[in-house]
Amino acid sequence: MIEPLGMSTSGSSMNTDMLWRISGRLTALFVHEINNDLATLREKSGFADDVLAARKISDAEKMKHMGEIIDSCESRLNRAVALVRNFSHIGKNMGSDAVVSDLRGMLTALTPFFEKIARLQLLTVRMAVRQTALVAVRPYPLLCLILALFENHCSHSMSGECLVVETKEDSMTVSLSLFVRQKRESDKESWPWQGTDLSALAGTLGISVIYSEGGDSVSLSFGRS
Amino acid sequence: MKKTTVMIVDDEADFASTLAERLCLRGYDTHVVTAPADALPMLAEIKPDILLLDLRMPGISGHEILLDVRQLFPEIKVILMTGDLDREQTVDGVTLESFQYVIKPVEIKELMGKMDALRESHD
Repeated sequence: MIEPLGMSTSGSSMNTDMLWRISGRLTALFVHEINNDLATLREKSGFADDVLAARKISDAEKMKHMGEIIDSCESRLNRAVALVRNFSHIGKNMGSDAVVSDLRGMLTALTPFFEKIARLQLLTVRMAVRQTALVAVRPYPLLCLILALFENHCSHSMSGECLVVETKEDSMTVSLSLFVRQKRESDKESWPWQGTDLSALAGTLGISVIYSEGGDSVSLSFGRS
Repeated sequence: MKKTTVMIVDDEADFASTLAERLCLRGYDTHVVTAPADALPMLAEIKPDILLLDLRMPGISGHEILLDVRQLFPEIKVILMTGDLDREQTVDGVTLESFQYVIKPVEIKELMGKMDALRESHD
């Protein structure tokens, strides 16, 4: 387990603005995903009404349709429930002071959003996250920082690539890395980091952001205080 | 009487196929495209009367498709589908609000009303 790290109490307005912006982005992603489920559920419900009212459909066919509709609704509901639970987990931690948190739990809460962001840019995500990775920082700013790093990385990746989110730990540190699974040797030299510099925000959490020389990976390192 | 042909372009396959079945039960000839990259070739092939277009999709956004449709297939009537319309955003200098649109979750009666109005204006 990593010891708690201090959070600067004199965080700059720039960091606050950035946190608000990322927070808004996270909320927008959540709303979009839930709305997709609601839209599908409304169509399914309307379709069920349509099927029951249709005179040209036999009773046997109606039963078959209804079974399929119910299965499909259940699947969408389960997805929505998982999203709400994950987002609720994120929300509960918004005002928390530094606490020992399971990094895996945080990343699990963010995974649906990672997948959505990646899918919009025709990327895929692979999570390689250890179960025991415990860190002690303010959880909500950390979630926002991870999300912002992920979005930055996606926006500088190429369609079809797979982004890996990986945690590692040893006796001294826990690290979280984002990288493209297959490195692009040809691009390595000409791909400096172009995303928002999140070093200042990370600094307020006592975390270092390490960008690789070629810009193809970024790591957060949680060291002992 | 020729059926009105509707193409639904939306990466949410479950949503799109169910909406298509509902429109089919109401007498429309429906086609679903869930890969945005396939939208333009399919539009060229099917030449629908009405295009129901989701704005937020992977790879090619609905905005880009809308821009191409306005240039390549100006006769196709478009209804935008979105969870949250950015009223100030423009396509080809025209605000999105100027287009016909429905907000997701879609109210079928509202959608039918807009489609009927477009069909009448076309006739």
